[in-house]
Amino acid sequence: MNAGGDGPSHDAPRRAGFWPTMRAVLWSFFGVRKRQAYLDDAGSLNPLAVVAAGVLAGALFVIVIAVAVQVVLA
Amino acid sequence: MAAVTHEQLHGHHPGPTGLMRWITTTNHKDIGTMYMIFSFIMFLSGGVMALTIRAELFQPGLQVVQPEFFNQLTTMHGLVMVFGAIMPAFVGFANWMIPLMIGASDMAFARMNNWSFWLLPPAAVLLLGSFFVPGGASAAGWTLYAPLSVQMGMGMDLAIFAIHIMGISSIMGAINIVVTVLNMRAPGMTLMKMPLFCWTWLITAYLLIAVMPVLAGAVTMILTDRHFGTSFFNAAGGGDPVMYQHIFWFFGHPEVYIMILPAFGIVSQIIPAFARKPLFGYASMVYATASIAILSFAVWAHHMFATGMPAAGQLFFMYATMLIAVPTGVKVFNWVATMWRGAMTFETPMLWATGFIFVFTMGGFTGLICAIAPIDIQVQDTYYVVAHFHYVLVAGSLFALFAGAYYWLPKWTGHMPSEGLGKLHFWCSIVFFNITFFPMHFLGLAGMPRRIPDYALQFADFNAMASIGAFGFGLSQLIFLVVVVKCVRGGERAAARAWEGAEGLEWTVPSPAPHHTFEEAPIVR
Repeated sequence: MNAGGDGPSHDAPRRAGFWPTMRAVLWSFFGVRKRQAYLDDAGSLNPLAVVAAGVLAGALFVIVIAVAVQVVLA
Repeated sequence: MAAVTHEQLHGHHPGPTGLMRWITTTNHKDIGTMYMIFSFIMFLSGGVMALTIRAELFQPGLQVVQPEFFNQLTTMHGLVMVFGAIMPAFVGFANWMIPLMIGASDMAFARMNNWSFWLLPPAAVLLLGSFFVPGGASAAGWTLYAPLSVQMGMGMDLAIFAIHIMGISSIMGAINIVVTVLNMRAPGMTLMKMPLFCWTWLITAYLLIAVMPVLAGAVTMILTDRHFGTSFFNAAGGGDPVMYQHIFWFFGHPEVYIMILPAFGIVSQIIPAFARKPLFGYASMVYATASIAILSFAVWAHHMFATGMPAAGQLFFMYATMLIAVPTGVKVFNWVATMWRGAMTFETPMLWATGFIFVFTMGGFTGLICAIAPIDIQVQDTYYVVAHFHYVLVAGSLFALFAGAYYWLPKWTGHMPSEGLGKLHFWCSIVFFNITFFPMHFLGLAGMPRRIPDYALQFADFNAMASIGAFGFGLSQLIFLVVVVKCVRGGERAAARAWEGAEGLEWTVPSPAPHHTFEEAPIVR
C-alpha cells in the first residue's frame, strides 16, 4: 500500500541541487512561498536533502542570531 | 462512536463484543473514540481542579482548601490537562481522521495502537490516585522544578511513573502516525496533496519522538536524586537545579508546538470548507509548520529569563523567540486570506475556528510581550503568564479541538450535531473564557503571583470576576457533553459529505464511517 510515490511525477528523478533546496528551506523560515516555486519544489526537491538543509538552516539561524547578539553587545 | 462494525455489515467473523471489543480492538476508529472519551474525562477532572482553585481565589484569605492542597491542585491541573486531556485528544483525532484522510485502511501498527491507548488509563489512575497517598499529590508545579520535586512525598514518584507511561504511549502513537502517513497513503496522494491536518500531525509526531525522551530523562534524574543517591539537581551534592529547568524546557517548548500544530491543522481543514475556497497558501502553511518545528528547539530558555542568564543568552533567546512568531503570524494571515471574499457561512465548526483565530492571536501577542526579556523579568511567575498560556492552550488547542469535534461528529456518529446547542456552547465558552482570563492580564501586570492561594486586597475584584467566568466556562462545557450524547443517540441523518464545502477523502465514505474503510485503496487524482 506504499503508494504515496506511485504517481508518474514521483518516478521522475529528483535533481534539485544544494541552492534550490536551501532557497526553499529559507523561504519556509519566513513561511511564504509562491505557488509556481512550490510546484517546482514539489517536482524537484529530494525530501532527505530538504531535511538535511532544514537542520543546516536551523544551525545557520542559531549562528546568525548569536553573531547579531555579539554585535549588539560589542 | 457509532461506527458500523464489520460483522454488522457482513454478518460473519463475530469478534469480541461488549467490553472486550474495546479492550482488544485494533481498529483505528475504535481506538480514536477511546482516546477522545478518555481525554474528555480527564478534561472534566482537570476542570474540577481548576474550579476548586478558582473557588479558593474568589475572595482573598483562605476559605475552601488548605495551601498545601491548593499547590497540589495547580500542579495536577496542569499535568492532567497537558498530558491527559489535550495531547490524547489530538491523538484521538489523528487515529480517527488520518487513515480516512489519506485513504488508508487503518494505522500502520494496529496492535501497538491498542497498546498506546491502553497505557493511558493506568497512568491516569497513578496520577489522580496520587491525591490519596501520604503527603498527597505532587505540588511542585506542572514543570516539576527541582529542588521542590526532589523533596516531595511519594505522590511525586507516582507522577514520575505516570509521566513515563504517558511518554511511552505518546512515542508509540507518534511512530504509528509517522509510518502511517509516510507508507500508507492512497495511490496519487502525494505528500503535497495531503490534507494539512495530516501534515501538521506528521511534523508533530517527529517533535514528540524528539522530545518525549528528554522529559523521560529529566524525570528519571529526579527519581534517582530522590531515591538512589545521585545529585543531578541537588546543589548540596554538587548538582544544579537550573540544569533541570534547561532540560525540562528543551522538552517543554517543543511541547507547546506539539499542542498547537495539530490545532492549526484542524483549523486549516475547517476554514476552507466554510469559506468555500481552497486554503490560501497551502505550501506556505506546510513550509511554515516545518520551520516552526525546527526553530522550536532553539528558544527554550525564554522560560528562564529570571534564572540569572548572561545578557548574551537573554538576547539570543529573545531574538529567536520573536523570529519564530513570523511563520506563526503567516499562518494567521493565510487563514484570514482564505476567508477573504469567500462565500462564508458560520455553522458551529466555523464559529469555533474563527473564534480560535481571534483569541489565539491574542495569546500569540502576549507571548511576544513575554518574549521581551526585560518585560518577562517583570511578569515572570505572575498571572500575566497564566493569562498568556491559557489564551494559547484553551483558546488555541481546546477551541480547535471543539471546532474539529463539531466538524467531524457527523462522520463519527452519522448524525448532525445540534446547531443551536453548538452555537450556545461556542458563545458561552468564548464569553466566559474572556471573562475568566482577560482580567488575569491586569492581575499579572499589577504583580499578583501565580500558584498562591491567598492574595492582597487590591486584587480582589478581578479575581472575583475571573472566578465567576471560570464557573461559567466550566458549566458551558457540559453543553458539549449533551451535544455529543444527543448526536450519538440520534438526530438529523448526516450525508457522506456532511458539510457542503467540505473536501477530502473522509467525506467520500458514508456517515457514520463504516468500521472498515478503504479496504480497496482509493485513487487520488
